[in-house]
Amino acid sequence: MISRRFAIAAICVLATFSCCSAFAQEDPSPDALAHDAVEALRAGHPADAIANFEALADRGVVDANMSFDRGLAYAQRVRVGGEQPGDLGLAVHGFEEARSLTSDNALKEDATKALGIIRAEVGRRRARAGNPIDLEQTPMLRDAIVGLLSEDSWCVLAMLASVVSAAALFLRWLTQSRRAQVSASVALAIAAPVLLASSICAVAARNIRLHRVEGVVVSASARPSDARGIAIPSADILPEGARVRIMGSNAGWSEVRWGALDTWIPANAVRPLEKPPSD
Amino acid sequence: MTRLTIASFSRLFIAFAFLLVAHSAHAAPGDVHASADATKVGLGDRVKLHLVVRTNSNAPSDPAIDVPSSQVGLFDAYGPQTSQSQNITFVNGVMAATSSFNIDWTLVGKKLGAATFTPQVKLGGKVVKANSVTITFVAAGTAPARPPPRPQDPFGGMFGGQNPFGGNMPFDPFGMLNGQGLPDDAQPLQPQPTVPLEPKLAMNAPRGNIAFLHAIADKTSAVVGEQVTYSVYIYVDPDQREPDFNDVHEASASDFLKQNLIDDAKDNQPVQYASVGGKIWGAKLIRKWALFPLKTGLLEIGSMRLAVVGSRGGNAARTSESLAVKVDDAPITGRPPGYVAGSVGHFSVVANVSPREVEQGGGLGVDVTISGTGNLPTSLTPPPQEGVDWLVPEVRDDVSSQNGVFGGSRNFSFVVHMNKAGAIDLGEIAVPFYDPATKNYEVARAPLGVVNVKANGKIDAAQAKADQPLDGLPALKETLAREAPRKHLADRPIFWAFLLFCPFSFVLVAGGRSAAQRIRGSLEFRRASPESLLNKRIADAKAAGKLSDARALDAAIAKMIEQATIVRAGVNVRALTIDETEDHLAVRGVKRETAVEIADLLRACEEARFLPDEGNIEKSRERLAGALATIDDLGKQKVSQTA
Repeated sequence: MISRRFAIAAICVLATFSCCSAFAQEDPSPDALAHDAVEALRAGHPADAIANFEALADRGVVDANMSFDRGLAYAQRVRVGGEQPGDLGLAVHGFEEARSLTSDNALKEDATKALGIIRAEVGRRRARAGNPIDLEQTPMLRDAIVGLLSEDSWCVLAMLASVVSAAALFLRWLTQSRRAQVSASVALAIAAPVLLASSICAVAARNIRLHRVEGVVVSASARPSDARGIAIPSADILPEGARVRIMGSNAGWSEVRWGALDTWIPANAVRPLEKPPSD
Repeated sequence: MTRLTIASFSRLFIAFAFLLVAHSAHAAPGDVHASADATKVGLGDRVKLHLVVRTNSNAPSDPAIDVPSSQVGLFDAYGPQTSQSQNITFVNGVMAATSSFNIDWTLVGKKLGAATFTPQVKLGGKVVKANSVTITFVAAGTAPARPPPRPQDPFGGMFGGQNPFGGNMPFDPFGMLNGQGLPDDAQPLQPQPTVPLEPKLAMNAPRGNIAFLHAIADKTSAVVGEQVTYSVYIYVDPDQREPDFNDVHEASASDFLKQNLIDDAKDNQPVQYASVGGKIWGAKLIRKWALFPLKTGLLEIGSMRLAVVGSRGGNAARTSESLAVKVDDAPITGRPPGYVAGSVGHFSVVANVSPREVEQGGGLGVDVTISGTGNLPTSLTPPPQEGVDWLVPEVRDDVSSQNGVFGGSRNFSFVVHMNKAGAIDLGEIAVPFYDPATKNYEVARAPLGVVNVKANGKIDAAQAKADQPLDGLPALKETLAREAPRKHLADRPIFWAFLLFCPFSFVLVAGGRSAAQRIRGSLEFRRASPESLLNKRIADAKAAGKLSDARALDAAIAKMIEQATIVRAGVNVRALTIDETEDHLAVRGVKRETAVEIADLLRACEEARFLPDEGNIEKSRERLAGALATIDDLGKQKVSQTA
């Protein structure tokens, strides 16, 4: 009797375990998805690769290599002739995201090279269609200045300027030598504005990193519209793959800034870029 | 037994004959007869009190209802409304005309209780009273259900012109027999047939008079692409005249893909009945849609609107409720790769490839049929691969509604150009979908199999490769990057503290030093009072007395005495001659002998300081002791400090 009960209990435990295992298998892990995606891409099955990369993104996996490979998958689908509308834009999105996420210079170079190839193709197509081939707009002056250096570079510059300013003040105060006082005054006159400017740029760069949302146009027919969704008659279609700043969204429309142009496009025509996680 | 049967038959015949006459004539000429639609009525409900007057001479006038005064407050009476008909007969060439006057009052119960109504009219100047009719007013919703009156059927075409409760009249519709004269084995009065009520259409209160719209959605939450069944019913009060409807505005559902589940143009839905506030209303389904949400959020289904044309010619708008459905994405857990938002239902896929052998550059056909229920995918992405060109498919639908669920099949016919020779595996068609019934994802698959492509050299492989765009892309990355989260200087408070500390350190140091100097000067100023200076001079003199320099000692003594006169007497003897010193000190109240001593000391010190030799230290010390005693004595004296 006891052994029979024990056998029944053991069977129940095993059955529960196998059910749990089966259930666990139904939801693949990010590593498994990544592996399947890479294998599909290597085997020349871009549709399967795209499906796995998008499933990975749906699960919140933010990884520079996976973003890069996702861009490759969309590009490969274009290469083999199975292009779907928006594939070029999605390929650009993957490479732009890889470039933003990584601190590896080699990956940044590869992403930049891939972006050049994709955007050249977009430009060719726009030229054939009679559209302007400008794919990048001149950034606003403020963004251009802040973008001269990285955020940490601005911080280091500000620190140096702060130290120099303090040293110049002390030297000017303590020394009796006329030459030393003049040197200190000159150093202060240079270091103080540099401190102010680099501090402002560091704050602006930090603000951009934390709050700015950027995206990539993933549609070949994103026509600029006003806030009511009415197409602006004289405006050219935004180029597929253009990197834009997402200002806001409302009722299926997103307000974007491309260079100096502020406009509204359908929300599904622009895909936001993931930000790198910060400590 | 036979005798009883004959008697019974005779009574029955008489009763039938009498009934026939009564049914055809309602009342004998010159007669008045009263009746009511019902003898038990709920409060707030209407009941008609009829008075039929048959006369072949004068028309009736002054119709009225006689009610006991104690019962007047139980009801409100409206009317009367009068209608007339005439019956002309020719008998043996003689024309006879009989007029019937139908006089109706509408009564609405206000309080519980029974009231006895005796309608009356004036005929030829005489008041003629009809039979009394008692109507009991009961609580709302407790009165027996009444069938809709045939002459005022408001549904008209919706009922097909027929009484929905059947065509049999009651055996004794006017109660004239009152149960008398009938044989014992005569058939009893047939009970009124009851109508089946639809519980899901019941409502607590009507949304309008005469007719109103009621909208129902089968669910309040769904996932994107899941069917939401939207129904609109029109409810009609059976007690009212048949209304007309016009100016129909459909409900808006812009956030949904809409499919009709019934034909809106055809009016062939059966009428159902429902309890609305305790009263039976007729309800008919006029709209039934399958709505598939297109996005997430709280999506609104607007109101359907139409106008009810009233009996008095005015239009009244009726709107259905606006509904909201909360729509979410299908769950992330278990979502298969390639799932497209909106693929919700239950699908199966069948694919057919023909032919299986082609020449290089030739084409073949691939038919893919997706069938099932739900939101059938509108597009299909075939598995792309190098050397295989899939053209845009031709799509054919065979969709319909079955048992309120939208579904059917959708066929995609592709033409595929095979540009690469060899045995090409076309892959498979996979359609991931979410089944809301099981709340699970599934994938419908159809393998396409292998196609043999014979090489014919017509397509140059190098040219084919050259035609491929996006050449030169970098190699793929094999593994996850797994980069550590970045650290930024600007995120650390210590960075900002350091940034501000450096320049402000100068401010702190310089400012601190300046403040310290000011504080020190202030303290010293406080310390340098005349009294403290005197003490200092005394200390200096004592210190000089320990030395051997007589001149220095005498100088210190002189300074001490000068400060003492300033502090103790308010006289600055440095500005005076020694001879004047005595007088000035005396004026201030210093004792003469003290003033003389001070003068003598000053004189002695001056003489000793300017002697050619170095002086006598002992005498100087004596002078010091004398000066100290004199200063002490000066301090004890009360001297005026002011001039």
